[in-house]
Amino acid sequence: MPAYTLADIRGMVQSRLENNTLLYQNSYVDQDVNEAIGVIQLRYGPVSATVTVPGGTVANQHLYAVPAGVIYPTAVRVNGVAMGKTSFREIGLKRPNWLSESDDSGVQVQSWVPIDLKTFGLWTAPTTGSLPILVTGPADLSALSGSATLNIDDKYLEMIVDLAAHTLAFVEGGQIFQQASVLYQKFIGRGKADERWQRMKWPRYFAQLKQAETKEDLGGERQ
Amino acid sequence: MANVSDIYGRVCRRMLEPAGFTLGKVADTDFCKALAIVIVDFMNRTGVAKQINSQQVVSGTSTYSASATTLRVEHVLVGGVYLGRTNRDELDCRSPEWAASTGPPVTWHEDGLAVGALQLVPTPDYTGTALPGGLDGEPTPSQRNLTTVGARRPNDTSYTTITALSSTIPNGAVPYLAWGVLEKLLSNDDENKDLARAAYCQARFEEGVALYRSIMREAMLDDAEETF
Repeated sequence: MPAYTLADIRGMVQSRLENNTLLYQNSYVDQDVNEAIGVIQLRYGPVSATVTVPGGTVANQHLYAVPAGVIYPTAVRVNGVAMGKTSFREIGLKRPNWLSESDDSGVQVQSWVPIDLKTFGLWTAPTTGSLPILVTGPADLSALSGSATLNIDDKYLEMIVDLAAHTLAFVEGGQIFQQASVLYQKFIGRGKADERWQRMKWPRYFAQLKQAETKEDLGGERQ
Repeated sequence: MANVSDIYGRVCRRMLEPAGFTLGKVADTDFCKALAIVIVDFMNRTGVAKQINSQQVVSGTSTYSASATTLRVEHVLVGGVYLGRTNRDELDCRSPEWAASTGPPVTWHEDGLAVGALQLVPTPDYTGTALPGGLDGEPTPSQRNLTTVGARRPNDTSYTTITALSSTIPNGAVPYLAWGVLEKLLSNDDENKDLARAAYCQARFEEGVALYRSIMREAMLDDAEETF
């Protein structure tokens, strides 16, 4: 997979903006590039990570904090065993006493329960402490800087450049910004076409590219 | 953990005042007020952080208020047992005498009650272990108390440009919060008014809300009943 430094991506963005480094200073471009990387990572999660819960399991404890390093959990392993995923309501309705149950009842630790971005539960609670818990999810990337590289598919790179370029043009306002924001409409269009986050309700956004005087605008008859 | 200054810097730069609001067109206080509104809106609509809070169950008392740090109640447990949610119509139809019944609670509702209040049905006939001030985090079932799980209210209600943001606000939300603040600043009826750019900012903020809600519903399987 291709690797890009911040300078590589900055160059691509600047070339979209006619290399106007007076208005679009490198530090501004860098910030908006990193913002765009964050948006793409949140939206698509192209870079994932697996992190360990410090200390592992705690005897008879059901709730655990998601360790730093992932944005939200997508998979959990306890002592090397993959946990099934269930929801707070589902486990509540199926096993109303799940917060009282531990694996000494004869039911093995078998499910993880997402609660929020930074908390998850285990059912049943392990009675043995210090078993390793591994949490996988989209990586919480630190800001790209210096010679550090980002390994990312080209299609995501194009989206990062598009997003950063039109976001930077926000300061221009007026017609220049309106034209640049067509790239945002393109981003929305791509998002809608994806299979990921099918229940996401994308915002409506239309840029008016050409001033057209209509009867309604003028408040009278069209000439 | 992000700081308000991360949002402030983005907003100032996009308002062409990269060194901070010094021209007098926008005051720092305007920014901070807008930020407080935007953060509560974001946390309420996305539910990205949940508050798990337990409070004492008192014999003969059926109505309880969620903790001040809970924006809305999504799940209820009593004595660690999950209770399904219902409403007054259903209770009236199934068990007309529900309001007078007592015993271990089996369901709960919020109909016709004050904001943040919930009623346990039947009315508890026992008193749980005292929990002065309530208890956050994993409940202890043996205490037989009421536990509410719901969207968490931001820790801060007001901000300065150097306040550290609560760790419950995801770092990834910072750009979207900045767009939310910009939308407010560009919609005011003053010389900054720019409805075209405000519309763009609103779309970006809504994108962030929709994305986090989708993550909560599809990745976190957050199937709490929609209440807004």
